[in-house]
Amino acid sequence: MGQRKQKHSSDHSEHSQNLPRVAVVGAVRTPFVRSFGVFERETPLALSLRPATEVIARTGAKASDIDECIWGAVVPQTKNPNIARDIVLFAGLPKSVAGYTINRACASSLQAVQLAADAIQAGRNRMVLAGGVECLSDVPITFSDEARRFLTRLSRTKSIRDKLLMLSDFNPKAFLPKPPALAEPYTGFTMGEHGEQMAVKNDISRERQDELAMLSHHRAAAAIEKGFLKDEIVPVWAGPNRENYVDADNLVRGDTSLEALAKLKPAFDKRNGTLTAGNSSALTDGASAVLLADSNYAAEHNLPVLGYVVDSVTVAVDPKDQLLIGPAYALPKLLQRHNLKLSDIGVFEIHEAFAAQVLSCLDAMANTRFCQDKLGLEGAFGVIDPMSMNIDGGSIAYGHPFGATGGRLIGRALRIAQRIGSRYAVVAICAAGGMGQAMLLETQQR
Amino acid sequence: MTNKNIQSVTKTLRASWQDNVCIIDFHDESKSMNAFSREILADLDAILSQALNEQSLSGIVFTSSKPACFAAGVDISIFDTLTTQQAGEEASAALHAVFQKFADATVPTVAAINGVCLGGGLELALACHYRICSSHSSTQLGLPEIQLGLLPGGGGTQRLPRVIGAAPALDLILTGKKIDAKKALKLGLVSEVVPENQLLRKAVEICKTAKPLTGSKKQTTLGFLGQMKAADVGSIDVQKLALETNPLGRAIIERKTLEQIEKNTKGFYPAPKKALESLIKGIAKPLQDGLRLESKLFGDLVVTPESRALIHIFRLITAAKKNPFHSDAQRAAREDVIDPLIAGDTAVGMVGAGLMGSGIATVLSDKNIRCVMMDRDGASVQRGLKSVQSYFDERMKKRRIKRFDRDAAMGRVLPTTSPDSLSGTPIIIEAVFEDLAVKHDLLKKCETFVKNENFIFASNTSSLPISRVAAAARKPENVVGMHFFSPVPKMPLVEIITTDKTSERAASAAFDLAAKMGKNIIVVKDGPGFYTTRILAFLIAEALNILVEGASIEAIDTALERFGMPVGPITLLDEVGIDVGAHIITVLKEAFADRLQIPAELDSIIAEDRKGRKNGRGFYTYADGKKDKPDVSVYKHLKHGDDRKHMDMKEIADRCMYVFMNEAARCLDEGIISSTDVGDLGAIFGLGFPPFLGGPFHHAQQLGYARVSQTLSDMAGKYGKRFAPAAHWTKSSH
Repeated sequence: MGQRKQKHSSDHSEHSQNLPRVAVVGAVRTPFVRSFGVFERETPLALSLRPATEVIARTGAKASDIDECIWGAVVPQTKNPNIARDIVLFAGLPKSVAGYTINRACASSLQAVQLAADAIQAGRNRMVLAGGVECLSDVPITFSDEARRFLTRLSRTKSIRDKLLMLSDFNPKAFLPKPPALAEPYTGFTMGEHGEQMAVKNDISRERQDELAMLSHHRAAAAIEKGFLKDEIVPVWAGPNRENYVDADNLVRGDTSLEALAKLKPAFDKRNGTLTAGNSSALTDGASAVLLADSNYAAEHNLPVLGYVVDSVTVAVDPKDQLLIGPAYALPKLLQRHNLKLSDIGVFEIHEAFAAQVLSCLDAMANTRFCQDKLGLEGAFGVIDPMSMNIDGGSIAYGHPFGATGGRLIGRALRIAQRIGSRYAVVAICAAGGMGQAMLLETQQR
Repeated sequence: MTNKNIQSVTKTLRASWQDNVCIIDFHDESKSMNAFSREILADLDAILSQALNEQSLSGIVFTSSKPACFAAGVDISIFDTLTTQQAGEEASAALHAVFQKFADATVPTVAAINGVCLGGGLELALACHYRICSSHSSTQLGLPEIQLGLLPGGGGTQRLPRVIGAAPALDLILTGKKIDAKKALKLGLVSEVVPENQLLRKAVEICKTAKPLTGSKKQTTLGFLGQMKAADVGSIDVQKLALETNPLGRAIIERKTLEQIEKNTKGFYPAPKKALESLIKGIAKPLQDGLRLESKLFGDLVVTPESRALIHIFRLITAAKKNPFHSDAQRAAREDVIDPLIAGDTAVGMVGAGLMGSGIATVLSDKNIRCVMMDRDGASVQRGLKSVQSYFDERMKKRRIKRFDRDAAMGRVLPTTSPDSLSGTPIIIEAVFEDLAVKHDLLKKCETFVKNENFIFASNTSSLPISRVAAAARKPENVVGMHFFSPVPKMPLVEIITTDKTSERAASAAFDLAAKMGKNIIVVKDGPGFYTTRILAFLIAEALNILVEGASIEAIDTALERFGMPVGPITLLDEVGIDVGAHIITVLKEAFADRLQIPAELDSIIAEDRKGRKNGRGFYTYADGKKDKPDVSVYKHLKHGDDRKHMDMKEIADRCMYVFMNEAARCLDEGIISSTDVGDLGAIFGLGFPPFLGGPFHHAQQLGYARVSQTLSDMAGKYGKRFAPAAHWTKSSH
């Protein structure tokens, strides 16, 4: 464990005792399913409505006391650009609940929860509904820039003659739809390619990646088997006649083995790569919701409390270096700020975008050189006990609907912490743009 | 700018001047709606005369500053005074005379319409030279007189076809439907639609710029119509202008419309035929002759028993809208239950997603109330969701709602299999299996999961006594019956059942919720089968008795259809489900063992797994889900076998209806229902009792209580104790 260097953090936890605490009243999500599958006919709005309304119904919260709805959505929404407000309206919630939509890439719903917590802590809000969604089955398909310019010019052209003249210039090829690429605009590389770069840079072997992936699936399958996810998942009746009753995640493979994983071909660098579909998180549809309230309000209104949001740290690094290394910066900073050691934390929920990326982060935090150079520590930050990390499995097993993962991790972290009796839990997520975010949660009442 | 001071005797009409335009503002502050009484009409007549006497007058605008109401028609109490044909004819002529002043004015007259404009209100507007209306959503125009068994007697059958053409006018008059501003403009009923804040300005502008319609431009006969719009009359296709302007064409319209009327009214209602006659004959004549014909036919209709019955029902509906409970209880119910539901703060807990449950969820969502729809497993919830979805899909297909309306409607229904989801609800409606143990189990679950310990538990049972449901409740005062009828979106009645322990707060909440759902409501006391189920059971049991005695299935159904019931009792039993019906009758048999007679043969029919329509095996055969012929194989269980006896149709209908009326009176004797009005309303809207008879008690009154009592005594001698006259028939002889 490295030494603290930042002075300002020393009295932070005492200071925070004077502020109202932010209670997590409920955290639920839809099943996470493979994109282009059972949720093919759903929309981000329809998926979001399920956990948003259910978290209110299950906790018995008074909807008109919700001040704000904050929703994360990563792939741009054309039908519901401000989906947060539309959730309120389409759910029939009191029209007085405002809403805004945010995008912090894969940490969007984590950020949504932090924004909610900020407003509650500052005394501005009593109760806030936060969450996020991704429905890659319903992404807007766009035309090329050339086609767009053609169409907008055409609509502005007044006379029939000019319109006809324009049409003579028409290039049908430009009208081939352009599916959105999951690429980093600033580097031009896809997320998978960045993961591949990290595996090379940190020398993460295929075997280690597959091992982590297998563990993720086995742990998730065990958790499902034991019924640990029952109160987390709200079923979805999907399809035009509501005929697809979906009440379970469909990406988890409890029967996977190292042998099976080893057989898979590299997914991004087809020749020499080590990242496969098996040790990467899949394209996933799903939504999650977290209801947060001032702890005094929660007590007065007899609301259930899963735990408390204490704080979070966001970092950003140069995307051209290691795009998804953010958690290795954010997590140490967060613990230092609260005077906590790694051993104080019983539950780590580290988002698994790629096994290579998780292992890169873990290695970095255990690496003296990295911690000295990048974190300004005197030595290595430390090693996270694998037994306390992703105890019920991670995103490689469950899947990763970009906007919804943060909400899932918070709900899971608190439920595990309650189950095993841990006071603290930490959630950490890497995000596109070279960002990372880590959040400290606490189960204990003060 | 002027001192032309015109006073209103009734204080409901305010005349003011803008430049030289006289603006008459109809605003009756003492009532929720503007309606024309005799006094107000006399007042209007006087005000018009004064205004017309002004030398400088350059126009008259008739309008209303009352929010959402231009004029709802003639005050319904007028009809009480119209006890003879002549009185009716004179009243109509008097109305014509007042409205004629708008038509005869030598300055432009303009009706500026904002809010509902119905009956006499629209007829006044039709007499004006110009009509404009606001685009506000409350603006609705129509001639609903047909629904009261009347025809529009203020010039409606004459002026409407002259303005919009015969076919669209018949459509409006024969259905009594209301149209919005957009449709009114399309039909040419109004010449302009403007935002409500510009309505008066526009009307005054018309007065200043337009010419009065005088001489040849005045509406005389249909011939001058330049731009008539075509429309549908029932299933009759688009009518051509050519059809309307010549006698032959009009004869075709008349014949086709008559066919349609026959089909729709089965000859039970005289008003549509008279309205058709007035319109078709009237438009061939000069306007004044047409108006005289209208008055005569109006007089004919006003004294018909059908009209009396329909006006009686109109009154019942109006009276039943009033929440009967103590104001403190009402306030508590509103604060705890209704207001939060309306605000979207919380949701109704709808347990049971079957036909009833999903129907209730559909109506709640349609009325902007959120609900949690719960059932025991995913498949059961799926069926319920699908039914809600198809209702709104259908509405979208018919362009009644937009896609986003449908999506929001679906968003207000929260499906779940987990009782956790009920935790925030202030009111549970249960429509689970009709079994006391199942209902008790649910009640216990709700008591565990619902956080508000004063939550209301409304049981949608059709036969189990509410007190027995409440017996297991920690707080029986919060248990109430809320009996919906299937299919819920279509059936207009809710029967609210209170036990001795039900609090007024709980009853008031159920009442207000049902009212919010747009239902007519009767409040009854608890008892086996309450009111509606009980009297229906006696009717169906009697039909079965007659069947066993030898009548054919079709004879029984036809007899009751001829009486005016929408479907015969045997068909109804098939629809409800023979198993369900038998279960209900058995429950009631326990309570009314002294008189309720059920043929033992029913058991062997049920034993053959005949459930009615739902399993395609009943008293009728079913082909592709449609009712086909009577299933003669039923007869083998009955006396006489296939050799059915001829029985007198009138006797069949009388036996069924007398036992029905008698049991209704017993409900009154026992205090199950509090008045004959409640009894009439429940029978009409819950059981399809013929509206033209006004309900079992209204009908009995028409027959004369003494005669009813005598007939019952005779029948009791012949058929048994169930016909022994209830005390009511002798207690309050009319």
